[in-house]
Amino acid sequence: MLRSRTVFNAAKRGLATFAGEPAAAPHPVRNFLVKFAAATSLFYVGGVALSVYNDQFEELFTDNVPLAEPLVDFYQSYRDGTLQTSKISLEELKLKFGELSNKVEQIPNAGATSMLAQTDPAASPKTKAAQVLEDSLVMLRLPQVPPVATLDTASAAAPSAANHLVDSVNEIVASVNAQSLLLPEDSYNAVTLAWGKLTAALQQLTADFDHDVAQQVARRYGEASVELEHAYDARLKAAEVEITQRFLDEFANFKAQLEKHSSEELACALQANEQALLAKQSNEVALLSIKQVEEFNKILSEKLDQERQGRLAKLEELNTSVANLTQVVDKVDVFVKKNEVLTRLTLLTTEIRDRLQSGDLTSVQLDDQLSELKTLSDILPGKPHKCCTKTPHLLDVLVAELDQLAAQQQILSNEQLYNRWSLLQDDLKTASLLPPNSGILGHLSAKFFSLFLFNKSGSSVENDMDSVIARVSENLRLANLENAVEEVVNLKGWPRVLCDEWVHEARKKLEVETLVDALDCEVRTL
Amino acid sequence: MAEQLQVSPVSKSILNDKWDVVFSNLVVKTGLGFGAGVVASVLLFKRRAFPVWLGVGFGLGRGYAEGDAIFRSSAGLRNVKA
Repeated sequence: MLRSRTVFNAAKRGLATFAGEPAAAPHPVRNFLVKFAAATSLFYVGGVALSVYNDQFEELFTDNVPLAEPLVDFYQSYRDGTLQTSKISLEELKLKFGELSNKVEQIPNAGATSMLAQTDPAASPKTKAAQVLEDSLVMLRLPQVPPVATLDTASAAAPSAANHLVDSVNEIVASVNAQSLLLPEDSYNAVTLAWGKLTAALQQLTADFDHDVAQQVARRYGEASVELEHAYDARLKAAEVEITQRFLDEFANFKAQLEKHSSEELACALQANEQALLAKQSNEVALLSIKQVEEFNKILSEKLDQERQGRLAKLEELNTSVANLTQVVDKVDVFVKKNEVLTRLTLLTTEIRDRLQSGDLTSVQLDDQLSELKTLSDILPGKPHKCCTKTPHLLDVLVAELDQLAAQQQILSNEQLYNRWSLLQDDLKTASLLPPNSGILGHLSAKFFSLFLFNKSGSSVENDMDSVIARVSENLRLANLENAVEEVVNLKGWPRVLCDEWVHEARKKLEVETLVDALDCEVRTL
Repeated sequence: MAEQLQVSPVSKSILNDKWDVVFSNLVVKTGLGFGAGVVASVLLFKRRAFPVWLGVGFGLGRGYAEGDAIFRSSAGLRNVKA
């Protein structure tokens, strides 16, 4: 059953492909060759076409494909019109291979006296009449006329005209030859003879023409040379005259300029000599007047000496006595002035010291005393000038330091320093209980526990905060500021920070007191 | 141009100035906490009391913390340029 089904299907397929005619026999080899040729042609045509427009492809194509380079060159030469095909014209072909029926075997040099070629009757069977006609006709072929040998010395127009004539004749000959005229033999001989005469006449004409041209050129050359020589002589004479005239003019100008320059130099020299002589004369006059004045002074001094020896003999002694008296008066003045200044300075230092040690509740202002002190220091005699010495005087240094420290400032009195210290005591007690880097709780605790501290008084040898406060208060009360400041400076931490301003003021007062003491000692040594 | 004078607090009043800054900061922060507590109580908690106490507590705590920092450092010490 399976086999019957297969057969049925095969029959069905066969019926589907059967078109009523038997199928053509396949030709695989022929089809392959056709397709291969077409593909190869298409490949080469496409390659050549692309090579024309793309240089890179052309290089690739010609390097890798066989026969590609000649194909590309062939196409390019064809496109450029430089294809090396046969340029032989029809006439040349005829000359090369002869006429179809006639052939000229020999062409004589003297003219067109050619002979009929013997044709082979077996090779070209023709009719009898045509054979007779061909035997009586000769193809006319004329030789070219040789070009004219021109003279080298002739002008350029003469050879061109002669050659033009020869060329025109040759063109006519070429046109006659191109027509390939077939003439009877007698006409041919007549034409040939006439052509020979014409050629001889042309050669004779050319020779005569050359001779005439040479003669004409020689004659004109002689005439032109004579004229040129005359013209050269005339121009030479004219140029000589012109140059001579120009030289004379320039010589006259140079002579005039030279004379003018010489006269100017002479005038300048004369003027300079005149001025020198005038100056010399004035110098001599001045020298003479100076000598006269010296003589007059000499006479006058002699006269004065004579008078001095007489009536004014005691004048020198009087002058010496007056000079001594002046020196003594100056010394006394200096001494008195120095004593006065020193006395004022002593009083002033005492006044400053009293003001500093006073128990007033107001601050001390020392501006008036300082200005007076500066004035007294400046006018003190016997002191070297500031500009004449490198080491300054001690008095000046003290006054300057005092002025820098206390001028325009207020210095606290002892009472003020004591009151401020009393105000600081509570804060000092609180700060003495503060732990390091304490926060808000530490400050509250210190504030609270400071309420329970005991107060000390008098001089205590302990080193706790209460003892320090008591010692400082006692020293201040006894006006012993140095010890009080020393105690306060030795404090540490927050108590020292709180006392910083008080220490600054106390130190300033101590420095002023020290400077005043030094000033007093210096004044006493002067 | 007027000369600017650097006015720094006197050394005696350093601690007192710090206390002033700490107290004012504590009052401000407590007030802010109280206000925030009141607003939260009215808007969110039907006028109950605990948000107010909570805000006051936050303000006090914040003021204490900042006061502690002020005492432990130089914060709060102001240099006034006159």
